[in-house]
Amino acid sequence: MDDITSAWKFCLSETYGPENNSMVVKGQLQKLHRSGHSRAFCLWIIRSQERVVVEKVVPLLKLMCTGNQTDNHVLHTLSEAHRYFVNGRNTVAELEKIKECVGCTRKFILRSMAMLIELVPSHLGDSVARILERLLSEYSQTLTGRERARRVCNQLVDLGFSEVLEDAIGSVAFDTMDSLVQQRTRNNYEGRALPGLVQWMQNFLQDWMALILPSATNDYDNTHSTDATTKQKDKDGLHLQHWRKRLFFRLHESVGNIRKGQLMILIQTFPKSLPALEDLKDCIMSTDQKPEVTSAMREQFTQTMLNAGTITSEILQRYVSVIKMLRFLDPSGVMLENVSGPVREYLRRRTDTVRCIVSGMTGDGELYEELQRGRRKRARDAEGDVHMSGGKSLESKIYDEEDEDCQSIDGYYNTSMRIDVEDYDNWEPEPIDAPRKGGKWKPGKDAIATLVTIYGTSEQIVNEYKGLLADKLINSFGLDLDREYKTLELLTDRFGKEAMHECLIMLNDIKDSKLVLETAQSQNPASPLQNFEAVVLSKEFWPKLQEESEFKATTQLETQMSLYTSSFQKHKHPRKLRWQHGVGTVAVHLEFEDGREVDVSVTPIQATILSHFAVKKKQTLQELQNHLGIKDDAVFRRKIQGLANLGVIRAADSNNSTYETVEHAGEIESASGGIDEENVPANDRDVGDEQPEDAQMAVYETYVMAMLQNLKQLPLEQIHNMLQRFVQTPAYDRTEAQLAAFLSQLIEEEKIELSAGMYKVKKR
Amino acid sequence: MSSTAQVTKRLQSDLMGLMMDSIPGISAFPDGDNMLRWKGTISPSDSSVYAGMQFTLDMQFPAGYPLTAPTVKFETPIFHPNIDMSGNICLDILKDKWSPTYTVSTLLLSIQGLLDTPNNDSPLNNQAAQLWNNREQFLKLAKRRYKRLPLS
Repeated sequence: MDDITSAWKFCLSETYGPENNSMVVKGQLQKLHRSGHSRAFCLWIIRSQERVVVEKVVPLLKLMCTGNQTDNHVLHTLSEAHRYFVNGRNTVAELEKIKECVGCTRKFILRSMAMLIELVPSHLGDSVARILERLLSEYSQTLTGRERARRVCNQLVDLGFSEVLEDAIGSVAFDTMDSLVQQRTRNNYEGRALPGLVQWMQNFLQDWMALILPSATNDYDNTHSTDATTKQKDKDGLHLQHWRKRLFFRLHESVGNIRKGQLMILIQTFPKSLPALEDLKDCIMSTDQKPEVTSAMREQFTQTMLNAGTITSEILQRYVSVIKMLRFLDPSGVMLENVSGPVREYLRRRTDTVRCIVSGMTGDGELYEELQRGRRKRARDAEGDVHMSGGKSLESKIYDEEDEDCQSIDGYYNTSMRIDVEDYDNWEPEPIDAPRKGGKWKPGKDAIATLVTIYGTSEQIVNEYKGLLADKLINSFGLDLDREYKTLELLTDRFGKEAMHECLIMLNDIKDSKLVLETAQSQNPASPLQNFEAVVLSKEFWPKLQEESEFKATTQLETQMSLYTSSFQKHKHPRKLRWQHGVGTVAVHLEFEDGREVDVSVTPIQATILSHFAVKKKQTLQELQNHLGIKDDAVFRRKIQGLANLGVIRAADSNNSTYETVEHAGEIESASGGIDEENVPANDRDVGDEQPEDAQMAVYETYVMAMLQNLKQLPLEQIHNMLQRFVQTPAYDRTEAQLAAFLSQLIEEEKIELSAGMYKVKKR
Repeated sequence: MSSTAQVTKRLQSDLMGLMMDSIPGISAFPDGDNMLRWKGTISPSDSSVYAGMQFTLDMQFPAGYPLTAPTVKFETPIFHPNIDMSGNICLDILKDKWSPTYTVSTLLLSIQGLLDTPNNDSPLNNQAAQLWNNREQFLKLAKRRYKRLPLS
């Protein structure tokens, strides 16, 4: 009995301490066992170990959570707690040998884990995450960092915190990744960030996770058979695989979120921003961000571009970038369609959109290149050679994708009316996110085709081109006819022969006119036809030219014209020639007394006026008007004013009824200042054209004021539209930008004010 | 030429006349896209009872304009013998005395004139008619009635 009593006493004193001498315990156990009290004793030991957990381990872990400890201290505390726990576990494990106590280890572990999770504050995870984050940065540098991380994790798993640990690992991994993504994508628009990040993730982050991630499930009752081990391994592999997928998704999402915010910059720097766009494309493919990117694009574009302050050509230029960009991001065209809605709607309301599109297509800009590209593409297809000749750069690859469907411009017929039986194997369903508009989804439009859809058909564009061409052919010097032919050819490819037929005739007219002139000249070798040029227009095919009032030309010109007429009617019989005096442009070379030589381009009427001044330097308006035979005073005055603005003539009296030539440039300032304050400083020849515009703008002021007074407040666009509607004589022909400038002038004069995009009368 | 086109053309010329003459105290402009509906503004003369106020009018032109008179209503509430609470105006030239030679300018001028010289024999607002000759009390009541009269 003594033995038993002393054994009890020993156990009571010993088992409490952390330094458990298991050999001694074993001896005492055997004594107790022999005496038949083993079961009660076992239970007592387990209970006492559980108390160790509650009284030692729990406080230590709580200490870990306080957050005011250094990292090293935390690590130490954790090890201490772990040691207590493992000691207790080992002690209990000894009891397994006693028959009545089989399975007690498992019971102990489960019970103590339950207690720990219950008693330890939930923000243990935060501390763990903090430690792991530091160890992660160490990990990349030293091997010990690796070991330490692993030890910490194993300790936590032993203590039953594998879920907490996994959460912490996840948040550390995500945070680290996010900050690296930030660092690599911010301000980096011209390089790809994603491949490097993916590599980093695979080589570093996944490695690290594989090392420290706890096993999928911890089965403590696992008998360690080989079979169970392999099973566990498979499970772990799968577990890691899941994590890899999560990381991959998160990485793309993170990159996508940042790129999404950079869209406007990407548009502005396009096509330099292509690498960044490739990132975005990958992100869209790997995540569900497509709708987000679409709406971000729409919002950003609407906000920054679609306002009264942006000029139409700028909007168009950016819109073309957007088209190209979206065709790259999403070849199905769905994103483009979804973004384009408001842009097209807005552009349709701007009156100068057509003009901008047309001048873009015929100028040297991107749209002209786009036209040419469409042609090259077709040529390639015709040869059956899909490959680009020369270097196949990234860009050309993209455009290859873009060019798929240049032909169907007015579209519905080309694609949907024809059913290609041969092609049904290649059929693909419509994209699921395609906008539903009743019609068939037609993907794949290039920039020009998309711009054409602003108006539904190409008719308006073709008409605008016709007008522009007419103006160009008649009013410009040194016209590059070959270039015009080429442009026309490109346009014909796109809009069809029929639509461009008249334009072709217009160009041919110009070409023929040269021949007619040559014939006329050769027939009259001695005649003064040398300095003469005339263009014969086929009346039926040209758009209506701006009517200029009839006037009497100079006698020299009259003779030239009649010579030309007779020659023409001889050769082109029975065609008749009807002269349009006022149409065209004249290059005039002027020499003054002070030796100035000035070259100006003026209208024929103005040229005639100048020729009269060449005869007599000072003339009254009445005299001049009689010379030219123009009846309309206002028209005549405007012409004279135009010349005055060029600084070649000036008013010689205060009521502007006599004009004289400006023979000495120096005289101008003093004269204009003295005689008429409204007169333009004539040396300012560049702004000469703008000044009468301002005067005309003043006419519109009455309208604007009346409008604002009665309709309270209006946006720029509506004022513009109303002026177009209601101002008849002189017809309102300004652009919105010009109107905006004029309105801001009125604001400066404190007549009106602008707030939140609305103009209103300024209250006095 | 369709009748609407004719009306529009006539209204265009009315508008131009209005713009060119720019008579102080009256102005009007088509309200947005609909040429047949205008908004007008009348500022009474300085000697008027209503001096310092501004009245907005709503004008609707029938398809038969100028053969038929337009419908004109005050949008701003006004306390006046010949104008009722909903802004309807009792003015002979808007009714039986209308003539196709009248334009928007003449119409607005007539209404401006009506403000100072009401026809107290056929009032729409009896109280205002009775008080008209007692200017002080008239103003007092008018101001109490329409506390939110737009005083500029």
